[in-house]
Amino acid sequence: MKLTKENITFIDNYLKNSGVSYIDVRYEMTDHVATAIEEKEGDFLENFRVYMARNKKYIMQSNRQFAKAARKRALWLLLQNMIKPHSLVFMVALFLVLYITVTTFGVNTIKDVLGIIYSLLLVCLLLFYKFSIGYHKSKFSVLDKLISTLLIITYVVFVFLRPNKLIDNPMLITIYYAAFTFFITINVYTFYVLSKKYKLQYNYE
Amino acid sequence: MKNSPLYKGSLTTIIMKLLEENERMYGYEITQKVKLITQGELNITEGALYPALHKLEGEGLLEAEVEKVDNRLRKYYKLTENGQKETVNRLAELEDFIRNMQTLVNAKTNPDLQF
Repeated sequence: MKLTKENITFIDNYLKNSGVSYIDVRYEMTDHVATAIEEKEGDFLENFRVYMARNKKYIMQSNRQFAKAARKRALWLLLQNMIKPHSLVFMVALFLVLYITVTTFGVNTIKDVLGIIYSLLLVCLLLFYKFSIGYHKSKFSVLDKLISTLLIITYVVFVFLRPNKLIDNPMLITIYYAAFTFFITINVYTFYVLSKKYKLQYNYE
Repeated sequence: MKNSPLYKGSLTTIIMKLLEENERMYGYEITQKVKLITQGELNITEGALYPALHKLEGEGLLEAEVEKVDNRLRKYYKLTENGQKETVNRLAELEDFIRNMQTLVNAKTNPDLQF
Protein backbone atom coordinates (compact mmCIF):
# COMPACT_ATOMS: atom_id res chain seq x y z
CA MET A 1 0.00 0.00 0.00
CA LYS A 2 1.27 3.48 -0.83
CA LEU A 3 1.61 5.83 2.12
CA THR A 4 0.16 9.33 2.05
CA LYS A 5 1.93 12.51 3.07
CA GLU A 6 -0.03 12.40 6.35
CA ASN A 7 1.19 8.84 7.03
CA ILE A 8 4.80 9.96 6.49
CA THR A 9 4.29 12.97 8.79
CA PHE A 10 2.79 10.63 11.38
CA ILE A 11 5.86 8.38 11.29
CA ASP A 12 8.17 11.39 11.44
CA ASN A 13 6.33 12.87 14.44
CA TYR A 14 6.28 9.52 16.21
CA LEU A 15 10.05 9.16 15.82
CA LYS A 16 10.59 12.77 16.91
CA ASN A 17 8.48 12.24 20.03
CA SER A 18 10.35 8.99 20.71
CA GLY A 19 13.62 10.88 20.92
CA VAL A 20 14.99 10.77 17.38
CA SER A 21 15.79 14.47 17.47
CA TYR A 22 18.29 14.80 14.62
CA ILE A 23 16.58 15.46 11.30
CA ASP A 24 19.13 13.58 9.16
CA VAL A 25 18.68 10.47 11.33
CA ARG A 26 14.92 10.88 11.27
CA TYR A 27 14.73 11.16 7.48
CA GLU A 28 16.48 7.83 7.14
CA MET A 29 14.46 6.11 9.88
CA THR A 30 11.18 7.47 8.47
CA ASP A 31 12.04 6.11 5.04
CA HIS A 32 12.99 2.74 6.52
CA VAL A 33 9.77 2.42 8.52
CA ALA A 34 7.62 3.73 5.66
CA THR A 35 9.14 1.30 3.14
CA ALA A 36 8.61 -1.63 5.51
CA ILE A 37 4.96 -0.69 6.05
CA GLU A 38 4.35 -0.13 2.33
CA GLU A 39 5.07 -3.82 1.77
CA LYS A 40 2.07 -4.74 3.93
CA GLU A 41 -1.59 -4.60 3.07
CA GLY A 42 -4.32 -3.35 5.36
CA ASP A 43 -4.69 -0.49 7.79
CA PHE A 44 -1.71 1.87 8.09
CA LEU A 45 -2.04 2.40 11.84
CA GLU A 46 -2.34 -1.30 12.58
CA ASN A 47 0.70 -2.11 10.41
CA PHE A 48 2.61 0.74 12.05
CA ARG A 49 1.74 -0.53 15.51
CA VAL A 50 2.86 -4.06 14.66
CA TYR A 51 6.07 -2.83 13.06
CA MET A 52 6.99 -0.64 16.04
CA ALA A 53 6.18 -3.39 18.54
CA ARG A 54 8.82 -5.54 16.84
CA ASN A 55 11.40 -2.99 15.77
CA LYS A 56 11.26 0.11 17.95
CA LYS A 57 14.11 -1.07 20.17
CA TYR A 58 16.36 -1.48 17.12
CA ILE A 59 15.43 1.97 15.86
CA MET A 60 16.26 3.49 19.26
CA GLN A 61 19.50 1.50 19.34
CA SER A 62 20.40 2.89 15.94
CA ASN A 63 19.53 6.41 17.14
CA ARG A 64 21.89 6.12 20.12
CA GLN A 65 24.70 4.84 17.90
CA PHE A 66 24.04 7.72 15.49
CA ALA A 67 24.57 10.29 18.22
CA LYS A 68 27.87 8.72 19.33
CA ALA A 69 29.07 8.39 15.75
CA ALA A 70 28.07 12.01 15.01
CA ARG A 71 30.36 13.38 17.71
CA LYS A 72 33.24 11.18 16.52
CA ARG A 73 32.59 12.32 12.97
CA ALA A 74 32.52 15.99 14.03
CA LEU A 75 35.86 15.63 15.82
CA TRP A 76 37.38 13.71 12.93
CA LEU A 77 36.28 16.39 10.40
CA LEU A 78 37.70 19.07 12.68
CA LEU A 79 41.01 17.25 12.94
CA GLN A 80 41.19 16.70 9.18
CA ASN A 81 40.68 20.43 8.60
CA MET A 82 43.23 21.34 11.27
CA ILE A 83 46.06 19.35 9.69
CA LYS A 84 45.54 20.56 6.13
CA PRO A 85 48.60 22.45 4.81
CA HIS A 86 46.77 25.77 4.45
CA SER A 87 45.47 25.43 8.00
CA LEU A 88 48.97 24.93 9.36
CA VAL A 89 50.19 27.94 7.36
CA PHE A 90 47.31 29.95 8.85
CA MET A 91 48.30 28.81 12.34
CA VAL A 92 51.89 29.99 11.85
CA ALA A 93 50.74 33.31 10.34
CA LEU A 94 48.33 33.77 13.23
CA PHE A 95 51.08 33.15 15.75
CA LEU A 96 53.36 35.70 14.07
CA VAL A 97 50.64 38.38 13.88
CA LEU A 98 49.65 37.81 17.51
CA TYR A 99 53.26 37.85 18.67
CA ILE A 100 53.92 41.17 16.95
CA THR A 101 50.66 42.56 18.38
CA VAL A 102 51.42 41.37 21.92
CA THR A 103 54.92 42.83 21.88
CA THR A 104 53.63 46.12 20.37
CA PHE A 105 50.47 46.73 22.40
CA GLY A 106 51.08 44.65 25.50
CA VAL A 107 49.52 41.49 26.86
CA ASN A 108 46.56 43.01 28.72
CA THR A 109 45.21 44.95 25.72
CA ILE A 110 45.34 41.82 23.58
CA LYS A 111 43.59 39.75 26.26
CA ASP A 112 40.67 42.21 26.37
CA VAL A 113 40.36 42.55 22.59
CA LEU A 114 40.56 38.81 21.92
CA GLY A 115 38.05 38.10 24.66
CA ILE A 116 35.54 40.34 22.90
CA ILE A 117 36.35 38.84 19.47
CA TYR A 118 35.86 35.26 20.71
CA SER A 119 32.55 36.14 22.33
CA LEU A 120 31.33 37.83 19.15
CA LEU A 121 32.47 34.89 16.98
CA LEU A 122 30.62 32.41 19.15
CA VAL A 123 27.46 34.52 19.19
CA CYS A 124 27.61 34.88 15.37
CA LEU A 125 28.11 31.14 14.98
CA LEU A 126 25.17 30.32 17.22
CA LEU A 127 22.93 32.81 15.42
CA PHE A 128 24.03 31.41 12.05
CA TYR A 129 23.22 27.90 13.23
CA LYS A 130 19.87 28.97 14.63
CA PHE A 131 18.63 30.89 11.63
CA SER A 132 20.52 29.40 8.72
CA ILE A 133 20.52 25.62 8.75
CA GLY A 134 17.31 25.71 10.72
CA TYR A 135 17.94 24.87 14.33
CA HIS A 136 14.54 26.37 15.10
CA LYS A 137 13.01 23.72 12.85
CA SER A 138 15.45 20.83 13.01
CA LYS A 139 18.98 19.78 14.01
CA PHE A 140 21.53 17.96 11.91
CA SER A 141 23.53 15.45 13.91
CA VAL A 142 27.14 16.19 13.02
CA LEU A 143 26.57 19.98 12.97
CA ASP A 144 24.95 19.87 16.37
CA LYS A 145 27.78 17.79 17.83
CA LEU A 146 30.34 20.16 16.29
CA ILE A 147 28.70 23.19 17.91
CA SER A 148 28.28 21.48 21.27
CA THR A 149 31.92 20.31 21.22
CA LEU A 150 33.07 23.87 20.46
CA LEU A 151 30.91 25.32 23.22
CA ILE A 152 32.06 22.73 25.78
CA ILE A 153 35.76 23.25 25.00
CA THR A 154 35.36 27.05 24.92
CA TYR A 155 33.58 27.01 28.26
CA VAL A 156 36.16 24.76 29.89
CA VAL A 157 39.17 26.69 28.57
CA PHE A 158 37.91 30.25 28.42
CA VAL A 159 35.54 30.43 31.35
CA PHE A 160 36.63 27.64 33.69
CA LEU A 161 40.42 27.22 33.29
CA ARG A 162 41.11 30.81 32.12
CA PRO A 163 44.79 30.43 31.15
CA ASN A 164 44.80 34.13 30.16
CA LYS A 165 44.55 34.98 33.87
CA LEU A 166 47.37 32.59 34.81
CA ILE A 167 49.88 33.28 32.05
CA ASP A 168 51.76 36.54 31.77
CA ASN A 169 54.71 35.45 29.66
CA PRO A 170 54.21 37.09 26.20
CA MET A 171 55.44 34.02 24.28
CA LEU A 172 53.21 31.58 26.17
CA ILE A 173 50.17 33.85 26.01
CA THR A 174 50.74 34.25 22.25
CA ILE A 175 50.88 30.45 21.81
CA TYR A 176 47.70 30.06 23.87
CA TYR A 177 45.77 32.72 21.97
CA ALA A 178 47.09 31.52 18.58
CA ALA A 179 46.02 27.94 19.37
CA PHE A 180 42.61 29.01 20.67
CA THR A 181 41.91 31.37 17.77
CA PHE A 182 43.03 28.66 15.34
CA PHE A 183 40.71 26.15 17.01
CA ILE A 184 37.69 28.45 16.85
CA THR A 185 38.43 29.50 13.26
CA ILE A 186 38.74 25.90 12.06
CA ASN A 187 35.50 25.07 13.87
CA VAL A 188 33.73 27.93 12.09
CA TYR A 189 35.19 26.80 8.75
CA THR A 190 34.21 23.16 9.34
CA PHE A 191 30.74 24.25 10.39
CA TYR A 192 30.33 26.37 7.26
CA VAL A 193 31.52 23.60 4.91
CA LEU A 194 29.33 21.02 6.61
CA SER A 195 26.27 23.33 6.55
CA LYS A 196 26.71 23.77 2.81
CA LYS A 197 27.02 20.02 2.35
CA TYR A 198 23.85 19.32 4.37
CA LYS A 199 21.93 22.06 2.53
CA LEU A 200 22.99 20.61 -0.82
CA GLN A 201 22.39 17.00 0.18
CA TYR A 202 18.97 17.57 1.68
CA ASN A 203 18.00 20.44 -0.65
CA TYR A 204 17.34 22.40 2.50
CA GLU A 205 15.65 25.79 2.31
CA MET B 1 21.04 -10.07 13.47
CA LYS B 2 21.00 -13.81 13.90
CA ASN B 3 24.12 -15.14 15.63
CA SER B 4 25.30 -11.54 16.00
CA PRO B 5 28.76 -12.24 17.49
CA LEU B 6 29.64 -14.31 14.44
CA TYR B 7 28.18 -12.00 11.81
CA LYS B 8 28.98 -8.68 13.45
CA GLY B 9 32.52 -8.43 12.18
CA SER B 10 31.53 -9.10 8.57
CA LEU B 11 28.58 -6.72 8.28
CA THR B 12 30.57 -3.89 6.68
CA THR B 13 32.07 -6.35 4.18
CA ILE B 14 28.60 -7.69 3.36
CA ILE B 15 27.35 -4.14 2.76
CA MET B 16 30.32 -3.28 0.57
CA LYS B 17 29.92 -6.49 -1.42
CA LEU B 18 26.25 -5.68 -2.13
CA LEU B 19 27.08 -2.13 -3.15
CA GLU B 20 29.80 -3.42 -5.45
CA GLU B 21 27.18 -5.46 -7.27
CA ASN B 22 24.47 -2.79 -7.23
CA GLU B 23 25.27 0.76 -8.19
CA ARG B 24 23.48 2.27 -5.22
CA MET B 25 21.16 1.05 -2.49
CA TYR B 26 19.22 2.45 0.44
CA GLY B 27 19.12 1.00 3.93
CA TYR B 28 15.91 -0.99 3.77
CA GLU B 29 16.86 -2.35 0.36
CA ILE B 30 20.12 -3.70 1.79
CA THR B 31 18.32 -5.54 4.60
CA GLN B 32 15.85 -7.09 2.16
CA LYS B 33 18.58 -8.13 -0.29
CA VAL B 34 20.52 -9.90 2.47
CA LYS B 35 17.35 -11.58 3.68
CA LEU B 36 16.60 -12.75 0.12
CA ILE B 37 20.09 -14.06 -0.61
CA THR B 38 20.30 -15.96 2.70
CA GLN B 39 16.67 -17.14 2.38
CA GLY B 40 15.69 -15.48 5.62
CA GLU B 41 18.62 -16.86 7.61
CA LEU B 42 20.24 -13.48 8.15
CA ASN B 43 18.13 -10.52 9.29
CA ILE B 44 20.02 -7.27 9.66
CA THR B 45 18.32 -4.95 12.16
CA GLU B 46 18.25 -1.17 11.98
CA GLY B 47 20.43 -1.11 15.09
CA ALA B 48 23.19 -2.93 13.22
CA LEU B 49 22.77 -1.64 9.67
CA TYR B 50 22.72 2.14 10.01
CA PRO B 51 25.72 2.43 12.36
CA ALA B 52 27.67 0.27 9.87
CA LEU B 53 26.59 2.43 6.92
CA HIS B 54 27.54 5.64 8.71
CA LYS B 55 30.86 4.20 9.82
CA LEU B 56 31.68 3.37 6.20
CA GLU B 57 30.51 6.82 5.13
CA GLY B 58 32.67 8.44 7.81
CA GLU B 59 35.68 6.44 6.59
CA GLY B 60 35.16 7.78 3.07
CA LEU B 61 34.32 4.35 1.65
CA LEU B 62 30.71 5.22 0.89
CA GLU B 63 29.07 8.36 -0.34
CA ALA B 64 25.42 9.22 0.03
CA GLU B 65 22.89 11.02 -2.10
CA VAL B 66 19.44 12.04 -0.94
CA GLU B 67 16.42 11.99 -3.23
CA LYS B 68 12.75 12.67 -2.77
CA VAL B 69 10.78 9.45 -3.18
CA ASP B 70 7.06 9.00 -2.45
CA ASN B 71 6.55 11.93 -0.02
CA ARG B 72 9.80 11.44 1.83
CA LEU B 73 13.56 11.73 1.51
CA ARG B 74 15.56 8.60 0.80
CA LYS B 75 19.31 8.27 1.35
CA TYR B 76 21.10 6.13 -1.20
CA TYR B 77 24.60 4.81 -0.59
CA LYS B 78 27.24 3.93 -3.14
CA LEU B 79 30.91 3.00 -3.03
CA THR B 80 33.52 5.69 -3.52
CA GLU B 81 36.66 4.97 -5.49
CA ASN B 82 38.46 4.13 -2.24
CA GLY B 83 35.48 2.03 -1.27
CA GLN B 84 35.74 -0.03 -4.42
CA LYS B 85 39.42 -0.74 -3.78
CA GLU B 86 38.80 -1.51 -0.13
CA THR B 87 35.96 -3.91 -1.01
CA VAL B 88 38.41 -6.11 -2.91
CA ASN B 89 40.75 -6.18 0.13
CA ARG B 90 38.01 -6.93 2.61
CA LEU B 91 36.48 -9.69 0.48
CA ALA B 92 39.90 -11.33 0.16
CA GLU B 93 40.31 -11.06 3.94
CA LEU B 94 36.88 -12.58 4.51
CA GLU B 95 37.58 -15.43 2.11
CA ASP B 96 40.81 -16.21 3.98
CA PHE B 97 38.91 -16.15 7.24
CA ILE B 98 36.23 -18.54 5.93
CA ARG B 99 38.87 -20.89 4.54
CA ASN B 100 40.81 -20.94 7.81
CA MET B 101 37.70 -21.46 9.87
CA GLN B 102 36.65 -24.33 7.63
CA THR B 103 40.07 -25.89 8.05
CA LEU B 104 39.87 -25.54 11.83
CA VAL B 105 36.33 -26.82 12.09
CA ASN B 106 36.98 -29.81 9.79
CA ALA B 107 40.46 -30.65 11.07
CA LYS B 108 40.94 -34.23 12.18
CA THR B 109 43.50 -35.02 14.89
CA ASN B 110 46.90 -35.67 13.33
CA PRO B 111 49.25 -37.55 15.65
CA ASP B 112 52.27 -35.98 13.92
CA LEU B 113 51.01 -32.50 14.94
CA GLN B 114 50.46 -33.27 18.61
CA PHE B 115 52.70 -31.59 21.17
